[in-house]
Amino acid sequence: MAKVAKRTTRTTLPSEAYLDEGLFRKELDIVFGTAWTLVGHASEIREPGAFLTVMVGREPVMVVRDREGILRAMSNVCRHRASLLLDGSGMCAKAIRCPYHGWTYHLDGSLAAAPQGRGFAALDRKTIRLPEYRVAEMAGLIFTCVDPATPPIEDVFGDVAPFFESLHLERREVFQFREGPRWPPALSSRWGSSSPRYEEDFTANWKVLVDNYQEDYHVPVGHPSLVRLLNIKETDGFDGERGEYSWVPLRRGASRRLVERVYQQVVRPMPAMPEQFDRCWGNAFLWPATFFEIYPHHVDTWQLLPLALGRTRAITMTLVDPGAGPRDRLARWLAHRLQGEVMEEDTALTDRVQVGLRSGSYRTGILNDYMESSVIRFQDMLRATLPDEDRP
Amino acid sequence: MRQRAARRDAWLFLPPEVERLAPGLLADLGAASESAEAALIDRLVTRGDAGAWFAHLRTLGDVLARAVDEHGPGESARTLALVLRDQYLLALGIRELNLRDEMALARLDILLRDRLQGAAATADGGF
Repeated sequence: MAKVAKRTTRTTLPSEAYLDEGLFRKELDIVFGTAWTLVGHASEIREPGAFLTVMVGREPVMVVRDREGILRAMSNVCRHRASLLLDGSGMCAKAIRCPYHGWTYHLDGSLAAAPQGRGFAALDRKTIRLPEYRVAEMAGLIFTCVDPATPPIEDVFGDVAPFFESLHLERREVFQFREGPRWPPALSSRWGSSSPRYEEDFTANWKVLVDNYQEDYHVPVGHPSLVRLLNIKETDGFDGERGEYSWVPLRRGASRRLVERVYQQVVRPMPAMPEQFDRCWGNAFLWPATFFEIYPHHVDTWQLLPLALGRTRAITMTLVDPGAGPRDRLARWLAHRLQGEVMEEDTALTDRVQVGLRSGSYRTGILNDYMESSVIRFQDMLRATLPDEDRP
Repeated sequence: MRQRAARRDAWLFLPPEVERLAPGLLADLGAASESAEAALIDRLVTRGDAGAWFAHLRTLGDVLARAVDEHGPGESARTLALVLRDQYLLALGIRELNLRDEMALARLDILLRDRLQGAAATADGGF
């Protein structure tokens, strides 16, 4: 991305930063545990009893709309024996019941009752409640933060918030992926049981995936078909404090490849998309590991969840316009198919990096301050948040 | 199928720098209209193949040599020569292309060495 004019010699994080268990645990607490984390879309949690769950670092969190209509983020861990309470997303009964021993909580997190409660010597249901965290909505998206010291979301993402608001995500709805995960997702989610998220696990450290996603330098080499589809030299964007976004126009000339040519013919913007996305693909990043693939016809969120030092889950949510017709669904399917190829290529690339990082002969590399400027910013932010990144 | 397509597309990693720089550089040299060259490269990227791309690079090499003959050396000519030279050097790494246009590369080397102040010999020539 043509964002950094100043020429500098910048080095990558040392390879140990991707391989050190102790540092990984600190990242869960200090990087993820202090960040605002995407939970889902506002449309998923409009009704009392609707809930979403997410892992924030090592903290399982639920977001629930209570009976009074208040949105609450709370610990998703039972106060009894630490079982997770809720899974995925959906609707609670009138209370939250632990699947292990049946401790039951009101939707405001207070303990309603515990089975055979008189068997506990010290069960004071008035003092037992699920710890509450912070929850906020930005541009139709729901976020949570477990750290009370983190500044409000409007301060953290304030400089990129107008961009997200311009996408009118609050008008979109969540696409339901069909059960039996496969990519690209089906044209329609009307058949079979469905899920609002698509999940895929990667055998790489989460930072390898962020680094890869952040830079365009590898795109022509790793994803040559994107060179044919997108006019990369016209990439433009904005770098904020803890977020950034960019967009690149689709080429006008018809591609020689059929799937790309059909896509070029059917692509059109959703209602209320900003003009710049009439024929552009875009992407955006929110610290520390949330990405957005922005197409004229839909938006994918892509959130990285570090499962272990060398294992990362990507959770995808697809936001579509409720009025999307067959042409829009075809455009979305084609874009997902093309991005599926890119994802496959990226997986092969990041797997190679993860293996290479273990080499005794490699410690650090240099970054292109023109094409890898986002990696420089991301790694600088990591160093600022957790100085151990440079010396695990 | 997918692998075959990937091999066929492998050359596409080459054009971005040429696409970004060549139209402006050719215009600086008075050798082509910037918009016409940009449109030509756009067509090659969307519809062309490796053979057409390297044919165009050879044309650009000829245009560059003529421009240096007519106007003498200059920064734009030197930059264009380095960009073109990088294309041939990078192409050596694409096994599927099996393309070693050594004549074109040699011509650029000679042009850089003899007419464009020995820039080809510098360690960071292309950057």
